Amino acid sequence: MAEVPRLGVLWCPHWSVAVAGARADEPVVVVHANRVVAHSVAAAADGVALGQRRREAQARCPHVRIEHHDPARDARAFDQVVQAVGAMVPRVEITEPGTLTFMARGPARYFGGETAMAAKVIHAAAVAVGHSLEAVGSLGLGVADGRFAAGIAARRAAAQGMPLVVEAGSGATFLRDLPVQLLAEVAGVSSEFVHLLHRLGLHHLGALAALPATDVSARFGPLGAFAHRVAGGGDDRLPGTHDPPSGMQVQRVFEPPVLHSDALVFVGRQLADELVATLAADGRVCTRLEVVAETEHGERSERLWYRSTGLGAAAMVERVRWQLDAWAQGGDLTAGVALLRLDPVEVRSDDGVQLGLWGGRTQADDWAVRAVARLVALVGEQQVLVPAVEGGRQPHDTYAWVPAATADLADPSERLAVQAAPWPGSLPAPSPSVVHAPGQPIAVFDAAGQPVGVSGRGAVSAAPATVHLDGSAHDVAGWAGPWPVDERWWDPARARRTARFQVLTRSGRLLLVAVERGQWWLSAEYC
Amino acid sequence: MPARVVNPTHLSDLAGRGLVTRAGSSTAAQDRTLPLLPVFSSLVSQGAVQRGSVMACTGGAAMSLALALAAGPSQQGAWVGAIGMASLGLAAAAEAGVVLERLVSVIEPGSDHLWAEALAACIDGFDVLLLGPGTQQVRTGTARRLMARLRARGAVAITVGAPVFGGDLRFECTSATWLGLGDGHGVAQGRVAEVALTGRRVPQTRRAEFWLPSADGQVRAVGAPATAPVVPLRRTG
Repeated sequence: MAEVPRLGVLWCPHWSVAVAGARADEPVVVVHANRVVAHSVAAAADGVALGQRRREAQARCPHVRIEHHDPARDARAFDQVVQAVGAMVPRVEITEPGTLTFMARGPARYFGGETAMAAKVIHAAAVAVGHSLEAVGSLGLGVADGRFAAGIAARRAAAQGMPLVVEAGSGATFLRDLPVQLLAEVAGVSSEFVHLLHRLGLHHLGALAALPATDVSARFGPLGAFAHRVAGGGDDRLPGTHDPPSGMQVQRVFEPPVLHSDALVFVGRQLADELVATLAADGRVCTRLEVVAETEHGERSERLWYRSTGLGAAAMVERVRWQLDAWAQGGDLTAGVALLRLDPVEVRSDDGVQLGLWGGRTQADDWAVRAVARLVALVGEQQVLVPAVEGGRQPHDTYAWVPAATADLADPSERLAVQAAPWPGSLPAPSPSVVHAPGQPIAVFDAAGQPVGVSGRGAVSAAPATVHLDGSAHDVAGWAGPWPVDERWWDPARARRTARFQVLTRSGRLLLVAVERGQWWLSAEYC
Repeated sequence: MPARVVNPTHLSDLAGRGLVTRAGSSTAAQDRTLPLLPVFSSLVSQGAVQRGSVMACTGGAAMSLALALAAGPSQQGAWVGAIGMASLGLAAAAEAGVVLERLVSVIEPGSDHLWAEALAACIDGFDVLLLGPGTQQVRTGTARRLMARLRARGAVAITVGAPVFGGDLRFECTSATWLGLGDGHGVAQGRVAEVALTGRRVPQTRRAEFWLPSADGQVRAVGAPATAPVVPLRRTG
């Protein structure tokens, strides 16, 4: 087990809540796709838990503040922690916003032991985070053999409130009595697999590690072999992980230097596309990426990004943006950026996280989901909308626009499920291509210039002859109706009684109009 | 260790490379175009639109036409971003063939600066942009810069009532007649619209008649396509 690297992991529990600026006793949750992804200590005390629906969290804790998930904001804020730790420890790698990993052997020797180093690092990090930490508990720092054991140690250290150092070679003992759920929480193994282990009576990591490796591998394939290896404190790098051959890096020199971060990210995207295509041609995927940017005055930003499932082009660009934004926000830039370089530091063979061929996720979906997150951050969540099926008889009732920030873009089946219930009285296709909600007030007159009305029994007083709309009169060339709707008559507050008409003007515009209590409305138009 | 510098001559290829890369569509020609619905092959050569181009829809049936144009790429996996189209009828979009799972609407960003940033984010993220009358606040210079980015990125814009973005392909509905509606009876069953296509890459005005929409909301061809003068169409490309 000598080849397993000693790693230190610094973990901030519920980082996005800390970024949201929660006070010590304030209940705050961060919601992504309608599910709680992070919560403050005060919210947890009221029964809020990870994975709950937004409404469930609100029911448990009515005065909870709800924040939206914004990975870019989390990453920007995390940069100061990376800087603080990076000043003491070389090659700090950002595993995700809120978690960083570093090689422990060198710094431990320098600071006089792993415990002394851990105390120094966590102190520096706590100073960088500041008082917003009070809302989420305390930082955790774990030092152990391999990423998995160190990650667990960091989580336990956060609970204890002091750094935890697992002695070299004792990883298997440390992990033995821990539950197998940690495989899903820390190592990113699918939760179905963990359920299966439970059903097989394997509740602890030690029980899994005690099985013969060949049997586990035969039964569960590569995933089982990986779980077995990490459960026994072994190397948690996937087989086929290695340093890439030299010359894989891609870079661009800017002449003249570029000041605009948007333009840089755009170039970053071209570089990322190029890099991913080169790696994919060899059947490989980058798991650790170094992004370097330099200004013409020699200022330099260098960050190491990690993702266990591999960094796609979109994920690379996202990280370039995070890094450049944090750098620009730091405020010590004196010149434009003259160099941007992407360097794959660690690659492994692609184990076939295949993009969808028919159905499934595609690269386009990946880009779009990221674009939506960026748009929400730019213009606000009420301005970025996606469709959802609602059901109803009026054109604006059949579908509704819901904020994209609260919807699950990757799995739209819930929001766009076709309803089995028929809506008798709804208008047949073709549907209007422009829907006015709420409707615009208009006036409809008959040939004698009298307002057209509809009686309680659904009889029209006279054929409509002119429609007054947008301040001008339009002659009617054809019309049909009335099609009455009497909705929710049992509920006085929401009851609606309207009669709808299609009206074709002489200029060729087809309108859907409705009369309700003597007032005419333009509800939709067939443009 | 010599770093591999991206050769600037290949940058245009890189930028123009498709995002909707799927198995079977790896040939270069297909990568540089987005497929339209088959019904448009009578009007647009090859039935596909060059990535990076702007399609401007005007006239009576502009909105239905824009939705029908967006439907082709949408069904092939592209995402459609509707910008400045707060009153887009979703039922009509679904009937026209736009896949609602991949439709996102951005309403009113506000200032010109925010418009530019939001549109840039849309260009980066979505393959098809539907630009509606809400985008009128965008200044000419901003629009020109954004369209340059659109070309570099290889997305396609479809505009309705947004002349500021120009148009490589201009679709004009020269006549539109609704059928099915009587004097106090019937219901609108479809519209016959004649669409004329002009543009820089279209040497001669092309015309075709469509049901826009037909009785089920889809676009369909009416009879055989007709050309303006009696000059036979030459296959291009």
